[in-house]
Amino acid sequence: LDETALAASAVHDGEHAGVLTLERVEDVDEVLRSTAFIQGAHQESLEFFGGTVLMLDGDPHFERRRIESGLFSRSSLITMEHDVLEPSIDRTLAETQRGYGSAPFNLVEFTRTVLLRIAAALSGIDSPAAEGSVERLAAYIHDMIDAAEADWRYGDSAALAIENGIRAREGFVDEFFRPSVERRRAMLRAPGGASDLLGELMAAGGMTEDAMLREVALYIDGAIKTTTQSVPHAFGHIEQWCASHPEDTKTDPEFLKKALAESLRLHGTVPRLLRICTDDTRLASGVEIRSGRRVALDFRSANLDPAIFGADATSFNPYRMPRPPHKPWGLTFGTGPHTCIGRLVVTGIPGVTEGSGAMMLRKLFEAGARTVPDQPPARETQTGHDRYTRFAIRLG
Amino acid sequence: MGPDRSDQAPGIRFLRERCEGAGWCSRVAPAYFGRDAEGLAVLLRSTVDEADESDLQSAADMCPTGSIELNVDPPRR
Repeated sequence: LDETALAASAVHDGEHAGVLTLERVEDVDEVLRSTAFIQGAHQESLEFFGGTVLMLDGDPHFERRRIESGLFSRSSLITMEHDVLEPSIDRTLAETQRGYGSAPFNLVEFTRTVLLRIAAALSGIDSPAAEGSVERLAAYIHDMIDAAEADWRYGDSAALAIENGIRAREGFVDEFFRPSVERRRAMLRAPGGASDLLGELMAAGGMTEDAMLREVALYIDGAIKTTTQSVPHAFGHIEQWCASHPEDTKTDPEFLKKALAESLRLHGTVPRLLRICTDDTRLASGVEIRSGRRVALDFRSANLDPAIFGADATSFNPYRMPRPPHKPWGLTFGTGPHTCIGRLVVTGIPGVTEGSGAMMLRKLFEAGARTVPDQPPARETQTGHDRYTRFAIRLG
Repeated sequence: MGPDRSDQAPGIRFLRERCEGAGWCSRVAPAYFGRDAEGLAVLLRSTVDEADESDLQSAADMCPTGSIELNVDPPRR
């Protein structure tokens, strides 16, 4: 981890003064599994996330996950990877080769473009063929994601991000969401139905259109953000690692899966997660937490815990063996009942699917992708996220 | 990483080494899955009743770590 990322983390600590911060893997894991805590994050972005599967606990959480779980069945993941992910990577790569040749382009934007198509297909948003509609969809989603991250923004930029996000959402509803709802209403009457989030929610019933909109927005946000953040980090680490480890091949899917997992551990997708204690609790480590206390689960520190990941936990090593039963990516996808519902999309199913991150990296390296020495990456400075806003690479 | 250690039963393959104790399987199909002292799932039954296939499909689909495999994986609607 470089010092910029650590400094960003320290700034955020100040903003959460008064909240009990847990940094040990065991403590974070125990709180996530405990029924004595409820979701306490995303208070500023409640307008976007309120009532979604991310915010639910207990029985409502179980029921919502059950409705949505079919989207992540083994057969659905295989279909998604073969029919949506791979064609989307190939198409974006071909467009990039035509547009840029061997000139530098931004890997962050490339990844976001690939994932936009997956996010739309998964969530059930149809992309009309009208001129510029894909670009408008991308623009709406960009502003909606910015707003959804309001809780992590520094200074007073959160209010502006939410204002822009609400405006973008209005355009998204008129141009994309409502027509998609209408098409699924017709599809639900036909044999076969619609095998996407919107179709599943409509088939299950009991949700308002506004609640379905928030759920769709959450899925789009999740489907795009994790991989967009992790692929550039992994790309940089892999290039450096392979320069000094010629025995490893940048196009080997199994090596890339290990490298991606290690990168996900070092660069978690959220700085920390807030939960609220609802019942006086004593953790196994002896930490006592009173009812009503807000607890910050510091994933970034927990993922660097030397007791679990070794004395060199801050460095990149794709062959790291964390202490069992801990996973190579640490707590980046959460744990227990709050494990990210779409984790297998990113990491793949061992022996069955490659995963979105590893496949994208493999195809980029197969196309000769490499960093551009005179264009160093630019880091995110507006939020507490450990990610790049620009990561220049070139093909060929 | 070594090969998965698995509990094998007709119709269900449970890959214990992938399990992280999300607990959805024991909730949706309690006749087939329990939890051990570490909170990880254990396979309880070796035979599958036809009437339970839908719950077992939900248990497999809800598992966020892909620890449950069914011999029959019906196509999505």
